[in-house]
Amino acid sequence: MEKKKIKVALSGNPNVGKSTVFNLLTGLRQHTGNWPGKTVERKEGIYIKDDYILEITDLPGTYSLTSRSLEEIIARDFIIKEKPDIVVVIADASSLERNLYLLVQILELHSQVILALNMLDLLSEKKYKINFKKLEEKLGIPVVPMIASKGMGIEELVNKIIEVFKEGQKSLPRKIDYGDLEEIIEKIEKNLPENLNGYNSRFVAIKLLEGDEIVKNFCKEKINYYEIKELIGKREDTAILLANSRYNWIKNILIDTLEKPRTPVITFSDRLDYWFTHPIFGLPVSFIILGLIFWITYTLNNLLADPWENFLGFLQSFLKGLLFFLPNFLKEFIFSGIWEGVSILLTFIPLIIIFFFFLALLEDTGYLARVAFVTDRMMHILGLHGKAFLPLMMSYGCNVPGIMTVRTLEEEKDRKLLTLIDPFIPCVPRILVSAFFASVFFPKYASLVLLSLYIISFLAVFISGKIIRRFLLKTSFSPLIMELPLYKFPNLKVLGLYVWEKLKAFLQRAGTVIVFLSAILWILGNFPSNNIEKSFLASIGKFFLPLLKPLGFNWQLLLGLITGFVAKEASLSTLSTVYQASGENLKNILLSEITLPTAYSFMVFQILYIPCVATVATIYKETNSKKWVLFSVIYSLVFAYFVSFIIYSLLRIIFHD
Amino acid sequence: MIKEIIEYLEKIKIVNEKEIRRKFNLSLEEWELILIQLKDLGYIKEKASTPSCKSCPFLKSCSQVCLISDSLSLEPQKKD
Repeated sequence: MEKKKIKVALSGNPNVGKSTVFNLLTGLRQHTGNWPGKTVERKEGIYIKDDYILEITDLPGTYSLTSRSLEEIIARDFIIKEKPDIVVVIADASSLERNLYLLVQILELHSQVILALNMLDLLSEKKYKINFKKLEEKLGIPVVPMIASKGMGIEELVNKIIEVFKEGQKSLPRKIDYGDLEEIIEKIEKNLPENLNGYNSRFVAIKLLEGDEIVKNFCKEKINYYEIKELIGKREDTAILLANSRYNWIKNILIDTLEKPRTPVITFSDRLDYWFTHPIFGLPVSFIILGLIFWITYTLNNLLADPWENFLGFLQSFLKGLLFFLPNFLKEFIFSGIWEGVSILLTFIPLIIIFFFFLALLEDTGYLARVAFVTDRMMHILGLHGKAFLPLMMSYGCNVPGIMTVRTLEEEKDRKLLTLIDPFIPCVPRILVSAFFASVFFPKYASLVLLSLYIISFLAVFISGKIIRRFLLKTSFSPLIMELPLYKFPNLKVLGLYVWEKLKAFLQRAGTVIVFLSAILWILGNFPSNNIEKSFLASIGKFFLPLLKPLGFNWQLLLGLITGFVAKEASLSTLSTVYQASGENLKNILLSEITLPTAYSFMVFQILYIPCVATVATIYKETNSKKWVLFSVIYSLVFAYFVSFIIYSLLRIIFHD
Repeated sequence: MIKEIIEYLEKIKIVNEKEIRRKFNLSLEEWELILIQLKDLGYIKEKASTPSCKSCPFLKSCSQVCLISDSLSLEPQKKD
């Protein structure tokens, strides 16, 4: 007697043991290939029992049957077009909710369905209990418990497949009632053509309401889609209502079939998160932790600064000794030009190592994700994401590591925006220059003047953020669901590798730019004569002076700003050189040469104008775009110009200057 | 439930999974189901990594806890 063939499709979510079941059933009687025209693997095999041959197809693992992924399209097309006799849905019994979601959709396509509840061992680990009999009754389809990894339940599954094939389903599978939408579904069904290429009309109607592109295009080819479109458009939220109905259906099925422990386990991470992500305490806690880290970073950096600079000095002398044979002008070029730039770069090394060590520590322990979470709402006011908080905070110390931290943001537009506005945060050297000017021109109110500069820089960040996001990097905020990782002990190797990578990248990319620009500035400052007043640099300053006259600057201040590009603190040393004075003498000269409005305008300008060369190089490294670097430089210059101009004009009126 | 969660996400902008589960009294498995449904509805997309991460030599050893945070963002819906 010829054996009867039963066409069986194995369906299920990824990682539910579907392949294990397939392999146990088919053994060596299986072959693999690709689905026609697709790169997705197709596995088929047979199982023989008594008078039956089970022809089994292992469908790709999917969570649902939409048309959003290739796997989903293959799985649903197989059920529709190849019409298997039985569809076995293999489910992870310990995560029934999402597994039943796939089952729901399969029941809309096929009525001969068996639910194989696999991974019962995980179920008992979680202390969950399932009432299989009740589940079977409520679903209206056979349920087979199994632990495929131990070979348990395989025989029962085969028997059930044969039984359903022979006798049909004992009851009709319970399908979803979509409530108010049932009327629209029915009307759509009536408008559909008779030949639906194997699809059933209810499934097509539901998919049309969900906005399924494949079904929509298929219908457009066959009928006048306009009437259906009108029906679909009657309610805007149909897709959500369908999803809600499915969710409620699953909840209802599980309400008295799945039993879970009443009190969920509270983990160590949960306890920490109570404080770290608390709506009230979360933010102050993050401020304390980050403040502490910045304090340690700068304290350690200050401690290391002197010995490190001594070492660099020693290195310079050593190199000078090595290169004694070079002509004087070349030695001057190397050590006063290039080495000056290189040594500025090298002074950042301790800061970068210390800061990125702590950053890696925060990241590896899992706390950094919490910082982004608790600061997000605050940062939205600035037009930024929560992860922007750290780079901005860091930039109050130094913009270089601040901009290097920008890469923690996911969206490219967010990274660009932050890279553009971050330089408005005044770093320590910029504040040092301003503090000097404040003490000279506003001795009694120096701290208030400095505070006003911080406020101006904060406003610059805020206004620029809004302008750039609105006109240049048009993005709207996407609400974010964050999966906060579990807390864990940091791995020293990972921390070390992270710090090394950051340092190497900084030295490689920023280094080349700094060396180049330092050399150029040295040449401009020392030619055609050694006197800086008669140098090309001074000529450039004098040439551009008319442009900066409206801000009240003289050419000496302009020169200070130009050399401040190499390092902000160089502004002061340049002024000292061009005025040929230092200390009290320099203060007196400045007081006699510069008015109060000019001094304040200069402070504002030097807080906001182009960042130092190391920061510019870092912007280039992070954006990898000359266009954005140029934009950053020009934007900050223009912004600084206008703000300084407005402030200078106002102060002149106030002081009758 | 789905509708309430979408409205909540749109209002609150950023939320962690634990918070949302606590607010709506959801078990992990119920939350998994909602995530799949939100994905099916086209409301969320997964962001596995940033462009800079792709070129990072430590991608494999990275803890992937923040720089590659498992974040899901709510997508604006296209109208037909």
